[in-house]
This record gives sequence, structure tokens and C-alpha cells, in this order.
Amino acid sequence: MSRQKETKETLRFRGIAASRGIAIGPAYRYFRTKLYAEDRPLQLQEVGIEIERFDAATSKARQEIEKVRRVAEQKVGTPASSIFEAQMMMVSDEFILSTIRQRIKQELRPAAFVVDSELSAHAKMLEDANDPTMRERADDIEDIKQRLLRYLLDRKKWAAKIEVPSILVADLLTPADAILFARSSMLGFAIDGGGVTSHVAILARSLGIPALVALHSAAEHIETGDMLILDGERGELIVCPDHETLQGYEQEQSLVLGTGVDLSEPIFKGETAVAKTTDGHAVRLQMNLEFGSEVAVIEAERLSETTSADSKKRLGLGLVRTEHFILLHDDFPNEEEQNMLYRDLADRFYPAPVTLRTFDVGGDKVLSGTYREDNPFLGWRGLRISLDEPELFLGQLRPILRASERGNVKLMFPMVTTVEELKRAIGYVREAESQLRANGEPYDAKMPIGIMVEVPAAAILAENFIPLVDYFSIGSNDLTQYTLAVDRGNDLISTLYQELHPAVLRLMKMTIDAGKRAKKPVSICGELGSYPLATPILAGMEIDEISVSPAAVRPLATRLNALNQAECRELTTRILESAVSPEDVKRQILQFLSERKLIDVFSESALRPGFGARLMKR
Amino acid sequence: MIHQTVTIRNRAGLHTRPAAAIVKLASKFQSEFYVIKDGFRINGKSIIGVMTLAAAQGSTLELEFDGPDEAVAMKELAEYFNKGFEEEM
Repeated sequence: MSRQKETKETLRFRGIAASRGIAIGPAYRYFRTKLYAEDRPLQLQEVGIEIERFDAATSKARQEIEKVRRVAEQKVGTPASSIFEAQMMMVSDEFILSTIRQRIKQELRPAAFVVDSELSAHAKMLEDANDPTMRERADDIEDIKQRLLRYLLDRKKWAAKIEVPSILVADLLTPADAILFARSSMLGFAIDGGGVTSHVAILARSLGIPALVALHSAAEHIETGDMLILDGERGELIVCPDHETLQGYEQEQSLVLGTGVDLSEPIFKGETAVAKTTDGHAVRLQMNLEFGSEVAVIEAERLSETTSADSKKRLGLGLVRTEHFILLHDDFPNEEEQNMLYRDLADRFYPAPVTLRTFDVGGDKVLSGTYREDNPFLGWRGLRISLDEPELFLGQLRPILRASERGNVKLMFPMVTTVEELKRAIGYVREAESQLRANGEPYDAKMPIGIMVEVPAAAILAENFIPLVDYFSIGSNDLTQYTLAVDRGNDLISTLYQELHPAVLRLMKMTIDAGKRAKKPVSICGELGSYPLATPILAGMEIDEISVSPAAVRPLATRLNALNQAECRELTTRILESAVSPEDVKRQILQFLSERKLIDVFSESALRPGFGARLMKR
Repeated sequence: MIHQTVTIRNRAGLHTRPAAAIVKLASKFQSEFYVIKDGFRINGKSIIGVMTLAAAQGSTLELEFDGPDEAVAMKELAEYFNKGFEEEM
């Protein structure tokens, strides 16, 4: 059913934002028709041929999965690509393969039919499971089945390529499709199926492209070429938006967002490790390391000719999410693996600092996604887990201490709520130190220890925490969630998640002021750091350090260099005294920027989405 | 032939990664290895079989071993189950 573009009305679909960001562009409708095999009786002499064809298909499948696995490893790193390893095991599952061969022989049925029937039966068992995570795993088997059927039915290779930069729309997308499309111009994807913990959603986050899942029946209403807005902030897909909506989003995309990674240009040019406001106040800049795959890119950029000697020395990692090494891998790395991981980072960035945050698992960050807790965000997570599992904790602290040997490692604890917890955590650090001393292993006895301030209790009691630590780092994402009682992953209320809420800003100010009084540095490592509208506020609060994703460093420096700290201080004071809503805060900041003719500087410095596609082209 | 009953302890249940790890571990042994759940009996050296048990946290499985190295195979596999697959419990 083809309709005239002009007459097409605006449609809105609600889904779940699997990966943040906003993409605007034409739709690319991807049909992944499911293949079904027909049954027919085989002649006895055909059996040998059918079994040969089946063996050829499985060997072809192994080759192709290996190819995709290699691309994935290069694009998203080893942990995220491990799904393809499991797929490899599935097509090599001798038990299933021999059952299929047996059935071809005994039932005299074509290979394609037997593959379809055998694997469908297995997928069906998972689809019937009560557990949503188990149900999502049925997709993995279905994926293997379709791959084998494609070879057996001699279907052409799926063209996983988009010519024009587009938003991919489909009922389902396999992890392999996502990786292959990401090599061409995919701005984002929106699919009817899937869940936040499905493998394809995890890959979207690794690739850094906005994505919506669980749109139910959106795909059938969309044709290739339809204008789309994929709103990965609010979990909405808008089809054929009116002019006004489109303009609004374009503005938001250019001005408000800025968390993406645009690696099409050199990341570092000149003195980006320290930004200076026009009145000469310095703000140190650092990088957050989210995915292992970024390390190589960051390192290459850091050592490139356009990076000043000073940046090479100072630009380090303000936040390393060590749990990243487990999450996509589903497993805690052992002590030996951690020794290597942390030592490698410390060496690569030496003499620049590397801030290692101990495992922050639980809540949204558990890969497997079946939380048995009623309120996982208010549950057993972060430092709470570490304190309850001393073996695990000491097994992480020792590798961190060993990596500190050359004096450029900083330690950070997540999710600290009480002073008592912090004291106990420091107690474990001392215990790990004495274990190392007993073995004669060197470590940095002055390794700075800090906490993430992300629970309102820690911000309110910042004065009580500061004497025990060397620095604070504000985790604005969780601080916002906990202050506003909003789960930003919940699509019904995610619009209430407002980092510029005056209540959040006041808690940040309390934290920074406590640091100032104790003459200890305070940094911020949440997404707020790369949010252009927040820059004047951060400068106004006189934050010492801002840690953002690598590609956000330079735009952030550009913004800071254009601001006058004294003016920002006045703005911040005014906002903290008068603003009662996030809209109010934004209005005052925008007015401040427009009075100083800074709007252009700020919107140019914001990154465009769709960076994933460009990243792939490199 | 020997048997042992185990419980799935980790939160995420027996999903893709532990299934792959179990198969890898079981393949080291000569003995045959079966997993029995709710009357289903599957070959424990088949990743697809193990996955399709859809064993969530709290479910009880029976492990069955038969062969020359059955005792050590049972010890190692039961231990892996009892550690909750070294995942968050």
C-alpha cells in the first residue's frame, strides 16, 4: 500500500529507548523475511546429497559468523562480540547436527525442512519460558536457523548496506545485521521486537547509535523514505513529523545533546587538557572510558601530532567503568585478567591519571537483565556488593594497587551512601595494601581515593565524607535519578528525568562547596559534563575537573574557553536562588548565552548524532 | 552412572554464556553428561540443548554422568553450578 508522501499524516509510536540519542533522517525499511522450508519426500539416492548440502551450509555459516565476529570485535571490542562466539558454538553443536543428519536419513525429508523443524522446536521451548531474558535468547536460535535456511534454499545474501544515511526500521534485527549495517550509513534503528537486554540493544549502546526497541507494530506503517525522528531520549518514534516538530528536534539535536562520539575528526588539537575561561580560570578535562574498543582510538589520537605535549602528559581517564569488562562478557574477570587490564591502562596513559572505579554492577547495568529485586536501583549494587563480597572486592583492589606502582592511578568507589561504608571500603584498601607489602609487591602508597557522589545522601553529607577522601566526583546521571525518583529507563516517566533540575543543581553545589572548603578537587563524570547547556553552570560552580566521553573533550573546551567565570558565577547564583523548574533553568541559561552572542559557539560545539555511521567508515 | 541435584543460583539463570561455558567444560570429559529438568533430558554437551532448558534462578536440575571420569566430571560441573556460574547471585 503506497501512499503519497504529501498526504501522509504524522504517526507516533512509543517504544523503549535501548540506546540514547536523537536521530533524524529518512527511513530505510529493512525486510528480513523469515524463510520457511517446504516438505517433500526424498528419493533414497538424494539423501547423500542432502546431507552434503547440510554440511556445506553449516561450514558456510561458521565462516560467515567468524567474519562478523571479527568485524564486531574491531568495532565494539571483544566482550560485546562474544555473542558471536556463542552462535559459533551453536552451529557447531554436534548433538543437534547429528540429530538433523539422522532425521534426513530416517524421515527422507529435505535438509532445509529438518533444520527448520528441529531448530524451531528448540526456539519454541525458549519462547514458552516464563522468563523474559530466556525468551530473548530464542532470537539467537532463530538467527542461526535463518542463516542455515538461507544457504540451503539458495537465497541471495542479505544486502546489509544502506546507501543514504538513514534510520533502519524493521520488525527484528539480528546482532549480525546491526554490525553489518553499522558499517554503512545507519543513523539509528527502530525495531518492533527486542528488549533492553537483547543482544542487539547492547550492541547499539556499544556502537553509540540511538535505538528504539519494542515498538510493537510500528514497522508496517513505515516506508523507505518516510521522514523519521528517532527520539532515544524519550523512547518515541515520530513518522512524517510536521515542520514545527522537526525544527524543534533539530534544535534539540544540535544544542541540547552532545554526548556522542564523533571520531571523524581528530579528537585533540592543542591545549585541550586544560580549558581556560576568558578571565583565566582553569578547568581540567579528562575522559570517560566506557568501552574497551575506545582505548585504541583514544590512544592513537592522544599520541597523534595534533596533540600538544602538554595534553599528552595530562589528558587521562577521569572515569574507567571497570564493570564494563564484566558486563558484556557476563563474568567477573579474575585477578590475573584484572592485573593486565589495569596495568595496561595505567601504562598507556602514563603519566596522565587513570581513575579506576570499582565494579558498579546492579541496577540497569546487569547484562542479563532479570532482576529479582523489586527495586534494583535501590538495591544491592555498587559498593554494597563489594562490601558484601570481600573476596571479590580484595580481588579487585589488589590489581588496582599493583597498577598504581608508577603513581598515576586513582581509585574511586561508586554508590556510597554512608560514612560507615566508606570507612569499611578504605579498610579493605589498607588490607589489600598489607597483602601486597607482605609479598614485596610495589604500589603507590599515596594513591588518591575518591567517591562518586551520586546518592543525594552523600551530597547532603559531603562535609562528613570529605575528610576521608582525596577527591569527589559527581555522578550526575544517578544523582538525577535518585534525587528526582525517576528511572530514566522507564519510558512512561523518562521525560521527568531532567539533569538541570534545580534540586540536582543544588546538591551539586553543596558537593563542590564542601570540596572547596577542604581544598580538595571536585570533578563531574556524568553525562551532564558534555551537555552544552550545563557548561555555564559547571563553570559558575567552579568545578575543578570535567570528565566526558573522548570526542566531547574538544567541544567542551571550546565552550569553556568562551565563557567568563565571574559571569557564570552570577548566573549560577541567580539560578540557584530563583529557578523552580528545569525549564526555568534552561530559559535562564539560553538567555545568558544569547545576550553574549554565544548561541552559535554552543550549538556548533554540540556533536551531531549519527556519529556511529561515521565511526564505522574510518 | 552417577547423579547430583543442583539449583540455579545466579539471577540471570542459565542463559547463553553459562550454557556455552558448561558445554566447554563438559566436553573436556569422556563421560556422557545429561541434564534433566521437569522430565526433559538433554545432552549436556549440546549448547542448544542446554539453552533450551530455559532454567531460571531457583530451578532445580539433575545432572547425570556416565563414563570413566564421571566422578571428577560431576565434581567440576556441580561446582560450577553451585558457584552460580560465577555471576551475580
